[in-house]
Amino acid sequence: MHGRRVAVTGVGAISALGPDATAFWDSLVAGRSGIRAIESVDHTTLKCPNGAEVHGFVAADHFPDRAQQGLDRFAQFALVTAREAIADSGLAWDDTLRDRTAVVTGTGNGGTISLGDNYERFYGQGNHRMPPGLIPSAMANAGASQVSMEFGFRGPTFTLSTACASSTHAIGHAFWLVRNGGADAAVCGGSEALFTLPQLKAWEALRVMSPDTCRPFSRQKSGMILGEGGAMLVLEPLDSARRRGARIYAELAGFGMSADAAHLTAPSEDGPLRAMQAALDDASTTTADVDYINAHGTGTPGNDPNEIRAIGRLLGEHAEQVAVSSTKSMHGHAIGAAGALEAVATALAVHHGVIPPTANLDEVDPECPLDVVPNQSRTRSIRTALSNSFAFGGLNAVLVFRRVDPAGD
Amino acid sequence: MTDQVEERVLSIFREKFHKPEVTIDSSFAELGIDSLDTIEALFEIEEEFGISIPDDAARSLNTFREVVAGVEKLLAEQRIANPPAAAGPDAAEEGR
Repeated sequence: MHGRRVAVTGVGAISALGPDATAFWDSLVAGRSGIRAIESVDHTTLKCPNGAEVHGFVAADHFPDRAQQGLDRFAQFALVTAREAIADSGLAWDDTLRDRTAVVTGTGNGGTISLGDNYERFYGQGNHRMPPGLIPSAMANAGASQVSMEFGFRGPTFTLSTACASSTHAIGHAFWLVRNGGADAAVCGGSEALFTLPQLKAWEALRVMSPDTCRPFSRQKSGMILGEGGAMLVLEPLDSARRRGARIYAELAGFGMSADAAHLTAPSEDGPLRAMQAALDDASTTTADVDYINAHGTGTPGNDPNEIRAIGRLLGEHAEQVAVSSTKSMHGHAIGAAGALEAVATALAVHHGVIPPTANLDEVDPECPLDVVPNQSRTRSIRTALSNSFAFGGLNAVLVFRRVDPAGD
Repeated sequence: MTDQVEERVLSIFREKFHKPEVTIDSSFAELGIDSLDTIEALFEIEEEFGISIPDDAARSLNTFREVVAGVEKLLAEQRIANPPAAAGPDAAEEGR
């Protein structure tokens, strides 16, 4: 054990599964997928016309302030989910705690929608006047800065960008700050909003996209489905959370990272394995305590069999007792928000003792021979759970959550 | 036609990967051309020939002979779907 133990006491989420963490969790437990035809972009020229979009999000409903209305969608997602997580935590901030509160966010692309709209006007329509709000509303740290300003959090505040692992890296570093005494509370997570035609075409060009839906660990897996959204967690020392009688979803107990140092897009088996082992070591725990893994599980031939082999090597003889599911089958792959959405899913799974399933799974891939929790959620007490994120560029990040006994242990 | 397609396909790979030794009988693996390399080369081939290679076909390609055969198949399908105006019987009718 290094330093203080850290509790998750608040969560927020916006996704294709609904406007808040309650809707998100209810859909996950029901095995209900939010993947459908893309509406925000004309999908008629796309080979892969489906996505996991946030529906019905109107900025004016959330932001009376005009400057906030002009924020890029990804930053708006960061702000609304931070508000939800902060309210959910029940934590009362005073000035001392505000000085000691960290905000750490992740995003893969930052304000790509705002940039795209304005570049279209610039290059396409020859309008060479750029709005003064573009830079501060589209910068990758726009979300973190907005959260800091709205709540007066004046501690360590920054943004990490590691593609599909961005928000897992963000949560991990926020966790270490609280554990090591660099902060006394943290709001951490990530957000992404990348539904633009050029982005979707660029993802299609990589030939990793599914023409219909996301089927992780399935014999019929056909690629990934892009998603959007955001999720945030409130972290605080376990001792002070207990003292104030907070509802504790789970202990955030470990964080591990690694790099493949091999290939830009094809994952190695060794990199993910070393990240999972590092996370368990960081949590001072072993594979014998692991009951659930929320997998990276993109539904691509590149990821899934490789991840399952790495998990198999990690767990050894214990592998058959561990449930492994991919919730991307329901909320899609939200890139920089993916790790945060899955961290919320994993913390809530530990809290409720319910394992969310892998949806869209009719026939398990013989190359993925573990318990991949097809279609139906499962009641099961979870002692320790991992949440995996493996990014393009070969960058891996893994979080370890642990059940907390209300009476203390 | 075949020789011309073959030569254009091979020259894309030769130039892209600086491998003058590429022949019709080479495989990607023996030349160290990986999956992302292949996808990038297929993108250039699509531009060169004005075709669209489906994802599942793209994933199954391992040799240059398979790429050339696939390009020729797509070009033939394209000729059937969009016959040259002067050669099509309907166009000839309308021309009178």
